Amino acid sequence: MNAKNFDAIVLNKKDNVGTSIKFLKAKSNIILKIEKKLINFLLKDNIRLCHKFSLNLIKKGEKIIKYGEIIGEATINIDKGKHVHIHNIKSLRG
Amino acid sequence: MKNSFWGYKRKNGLVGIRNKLLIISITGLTGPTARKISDYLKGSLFVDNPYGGGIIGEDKTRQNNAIIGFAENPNVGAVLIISADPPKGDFIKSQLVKSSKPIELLTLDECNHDAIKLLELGLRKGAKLIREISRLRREKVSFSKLSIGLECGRSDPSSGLVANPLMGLIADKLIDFGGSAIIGETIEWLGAEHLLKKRAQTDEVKKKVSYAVDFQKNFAKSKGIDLLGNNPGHQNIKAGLSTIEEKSLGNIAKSGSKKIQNVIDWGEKPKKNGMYLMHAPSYAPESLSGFSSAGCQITLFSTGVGNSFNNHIAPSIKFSANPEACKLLSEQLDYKCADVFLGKKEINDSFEELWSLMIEICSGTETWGEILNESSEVFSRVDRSL
Repeated sequence: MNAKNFDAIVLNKKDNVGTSIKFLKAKSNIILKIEKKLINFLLKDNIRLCHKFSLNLIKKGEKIIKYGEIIGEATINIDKGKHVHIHNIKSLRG
Repeated sequence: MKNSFWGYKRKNGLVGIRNKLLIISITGLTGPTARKISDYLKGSLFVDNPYGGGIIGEDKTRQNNAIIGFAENPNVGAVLIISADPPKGDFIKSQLVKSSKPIELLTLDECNHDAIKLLELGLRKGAKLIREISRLRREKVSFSKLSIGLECGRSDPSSGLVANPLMGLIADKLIDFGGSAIIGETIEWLGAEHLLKKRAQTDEVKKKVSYAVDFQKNFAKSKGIDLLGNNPGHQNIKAGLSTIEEKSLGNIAKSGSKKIQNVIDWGEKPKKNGMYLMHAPSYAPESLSGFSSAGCQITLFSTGVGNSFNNHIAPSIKFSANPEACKLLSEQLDYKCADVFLGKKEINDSFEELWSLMIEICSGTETWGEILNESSEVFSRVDRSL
């Protein structure tokens, strides 16, 4: 495996969001690292460094999973490949 | 991995990584003069308690404990206490006898409340103390003597992905060698407390974790604060953190994997070795002062997008995994681990590098924060003054 060439990572296989490790352009095909595997993935939005995007369709009210843990829930339906942030998810604790 | 460094052995068995004169103004009136004394005396550390007689109850206990804690920190070789009046000064001095370090007390009373006289006497006393402690030499000491504070500030998701897990590896290794480590920032356990509770040494510790998190959460609620915008703060949000849960999960990665020995209060010293949680505020200056008054000799401080603040008594090793911050902040970041974030380096290799750097810094190499003097100590408060 060439660990050097990827654009974004998924920390835990249960996660439904990935995190970019560089600025990524909308509608670009990126390489996503999930555990030790690299896969191709189509982004719909621009994703800034360290920001998150959805790995699949996340329906309103569904939990957002990162690190294999719940970090909040979707406030609207989020299409696959879209930017996931405070405009479409909310905390369940704060 | 090396398990020793070159430190200063203290008479009470503790070990310092620095050997400084602490000039501590314990009353608000004496702050400006005490600062001038410190400005004159190369290498002295200045701590300013800007409060005085109006402090009562829990705040009074907290402040006295913090003054004593800063003075007892093993990085401090001698203490010059500056007080407006004798009773408070005498009380603090009496509490420090067991630390077996040279302590001098000066009061404005004995100078007829003449700041110029206080400045003169303070300089003479301080200079003599520095000469005295400068006779001490470093010796080889074990990491079992080290207590480390684990901080993160101006975080982004790279903190939770790389820098904080890296700190967790350091904490685990230090504990294997018999040392202790502390994480604070209670509100940033919210959403991750189930993971901390799983690691609690006893059921009582488990309860203390819940109590601490609920306390901070209810405090925010009672003031009508929405955590979004406060914690995660605007800068966290801009950098990609969306919720307190996400920030907390990244935050607790700092604590590694060892059992949680206990939940201690701000500035309280761990009783044994191992991993401790400090129930304390999140903002870096207050959080870090909790560690230095608890006796930590060093603080590891991860940042995402950069944070120029450092602890004053326990030097901060500042590091980041954010590629942009690593490019921009060459005289702030003591260690850069963007290569791990970018997949160009394994985290274990980075861990060995950071461990080596920690040995070097504990043995005398100065951090950027020390060189640039970007540090101070603050006192934590819970209530109003009279």
